[in-house]
Amino acid sequence: MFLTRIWEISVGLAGLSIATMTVLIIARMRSVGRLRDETQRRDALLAAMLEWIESADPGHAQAITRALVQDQMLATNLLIEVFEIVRGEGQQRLAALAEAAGIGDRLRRDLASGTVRNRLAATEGLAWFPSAATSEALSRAVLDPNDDVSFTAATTLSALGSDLMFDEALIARLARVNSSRRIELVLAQFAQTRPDALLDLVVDPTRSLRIRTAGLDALTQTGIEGIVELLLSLQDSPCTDMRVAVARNLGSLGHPDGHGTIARYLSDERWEVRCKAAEAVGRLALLDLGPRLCDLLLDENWWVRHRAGEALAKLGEFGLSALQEIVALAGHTALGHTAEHVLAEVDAVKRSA
Amino acid sequence: MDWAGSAPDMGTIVASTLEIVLLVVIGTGLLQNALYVAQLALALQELATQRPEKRASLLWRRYADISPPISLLVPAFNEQLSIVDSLRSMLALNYPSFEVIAVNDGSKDGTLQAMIDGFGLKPILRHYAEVVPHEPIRGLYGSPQHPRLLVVDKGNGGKSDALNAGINLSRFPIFCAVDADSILESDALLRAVQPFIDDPVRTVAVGGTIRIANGCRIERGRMLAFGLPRNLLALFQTIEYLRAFLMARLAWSRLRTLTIISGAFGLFKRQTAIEVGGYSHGTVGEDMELVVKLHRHLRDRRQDYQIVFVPEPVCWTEAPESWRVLGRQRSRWQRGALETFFRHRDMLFRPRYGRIGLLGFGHVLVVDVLGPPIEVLGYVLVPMLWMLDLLSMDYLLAFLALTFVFGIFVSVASLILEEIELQRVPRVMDLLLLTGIAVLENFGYRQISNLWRLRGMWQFLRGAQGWGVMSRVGFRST
Repeated sequence: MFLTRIWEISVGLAGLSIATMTVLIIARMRSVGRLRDETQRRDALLAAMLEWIESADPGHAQAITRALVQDQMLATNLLIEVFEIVRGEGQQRLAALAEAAGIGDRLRRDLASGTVRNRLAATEGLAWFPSAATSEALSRAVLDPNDDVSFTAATTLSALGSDLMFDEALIARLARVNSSRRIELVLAQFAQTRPDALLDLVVDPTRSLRIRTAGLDALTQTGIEGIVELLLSLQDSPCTDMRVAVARNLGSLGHPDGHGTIARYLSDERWEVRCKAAEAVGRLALLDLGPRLCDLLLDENWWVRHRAGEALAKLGEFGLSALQEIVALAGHTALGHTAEHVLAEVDAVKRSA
Repeated sequence: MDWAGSAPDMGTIVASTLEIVLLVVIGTGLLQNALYVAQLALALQELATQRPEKRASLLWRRYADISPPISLLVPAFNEQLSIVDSLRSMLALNYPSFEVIAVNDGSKDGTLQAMIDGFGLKPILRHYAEVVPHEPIRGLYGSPQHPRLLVVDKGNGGKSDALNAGINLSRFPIFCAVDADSILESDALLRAVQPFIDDPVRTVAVGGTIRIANGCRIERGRMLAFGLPRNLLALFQTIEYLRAFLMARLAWSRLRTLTIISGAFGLFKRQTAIEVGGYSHGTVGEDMELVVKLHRHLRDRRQDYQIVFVPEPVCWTEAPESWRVLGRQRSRWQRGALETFFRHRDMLFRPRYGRIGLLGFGHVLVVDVLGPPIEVLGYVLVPMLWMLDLLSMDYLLAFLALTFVFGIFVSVASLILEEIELQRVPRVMDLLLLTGIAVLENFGYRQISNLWRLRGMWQFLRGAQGWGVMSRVGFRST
């Protein structure tokens, strides 16, 4: 009985799979014509949109509105593509036309349900439809269970100038260890619009290191007043990641007050910090720290040796002479090889440029 | 079971033994097929929830600013004919920041010279640390016209050795191992890197889909149009690859029990790969070995991590079109799976390794270790006993169901998954042909595959080494 059942079930499943495939093939045959029509409609609508952006001809406006109302899915995808390549007054007119045709409403509806892919696309698309309703919908989307949707909604809202609360729920989500790298985009946006709130977050030792260091990077990019003081106040952090972030940001900021910290970091106990400090010396061309870089060419960690060599090369004539001298004196030792290879790479980069 | 012997005692013993053997054959078949059904269900669930974005321009807009830089490692051995086109297509990939490191693994043909001539390369020096072992490097080559390309010339040491050299020379946090004879779709890296963006802390490795390029229109290393192979063997492999990637890998990825990422296309966190000593020497299954080593290392450290498969980034590869070459390849794959399984056999069912030990290694045990010999035993025993009238029709039908008919369901269902979620086969006629092939492959091809796998087991038991010759037709512009 059991053995017979195996045969019956197998035959049944095989038959079912072949029948399903047959249905799919028939569906595909039918969709060929539909796809061709859709491509034609898409091409016609695209031409009309571009024409209307150029000429603002009311005839085109009517045709576009009709198409937008009739085939909202096709129109929405096409609109986003057009918005990506067209800017200025023409784009705003087209957006207004689309809003009147209900595309904004559709996107706001899509935001609340459907697959992650559709919700994400709707969140991005709404950036072109600023309104109170959009802000409200995006505020709700910040609470979306999917991180990508939530973070994109937060970024879009912030870019639209909304006074989105940098609240606990959002912070907790951004601070999760396994959260997406999109947090960098969210924080960069917040650094533009709510630097004070972000500053509070960075100095709060109870927050996760990930969000604090990403926040620090974002704030440094804005160059707000007091950023140097903030970086210096964090220089003695017991956390390696924070000291790495301080070194990195002092390097990108280039403020003279960072000199002492960078010099101290060159002999930090952690190689990651020494590495970033060496990079900062090269980037800021701190000539007086050149000899310290020469010492780091003997560091136990390869990355520190490598970055120190690169940094020396960035110090111009002084650094290059030092490297050449090391090659001449140290010959076929590890130190000599490091200097020789760095010089060769610098030369190759110059030739590429 | 109808056993009628002249000596009743002896007959009873033989009958009982045979009955047990048959039950093992049927039981293993049932277990294998139950695993396939579970995989199908999981794969469908994964594809339905993680529906891939089709528009590459949208991906670029979303991820370009936050995509980590990647080093593409391209080991090449005797690839004189295709290496320049392959590298050109890799250099033209649609990705914000990457370098291509081609490693000439002591080729006996003009692979190195082809690269030197094709890209105007000159000897260069590059500072690197030897953190994973490999044969000595004979020279490094670069060109100001192609600053993203680095060519490494080293003594022959095999694919793992070449990849290790690439790891040492790479400078970026993620490396992507790609076969020199494969073609990546232009947005493949942008798609494959997504797990490293979504979960940068936990993601340590990502695998993408491999598809058969035979029959596709390819020019200068770029895929222009999809087409099905004209060769029957390559068609069988098209279905096999669909089943392996769209069903099995996707399902295991969902369960976080993926034990293999194809050597033809896989992304790894460089630092973690270095921590496990890079690619292992002395195995022909270096891709599976690396993934299992990562699992073991991270589980031993009780670290939260993920190794995932994403179905949409596609790498196209040339499938063997001759029985001899395909047989050698399959025997080698089998040997590789067994080498890794027995090297890490202590992980099997061990609670410390969680679902990897239970499901990942359990699957390898059932499908790769026990499956082939037991199925072949069934092919010999069941028809013979039935013809001798020693076996009832029920046994025969059950065996046929498990080895032939259920295979049809699994293969066609994989094709259904592809059609519902990805629709990568553009022509209706091709779909029809693939459906026919999905049925046909269960009658003959599957059985021959099992024999090749048995040969691989035999080679493993004898301790055979080496890859054997992998002759290729080369991508043809059709």
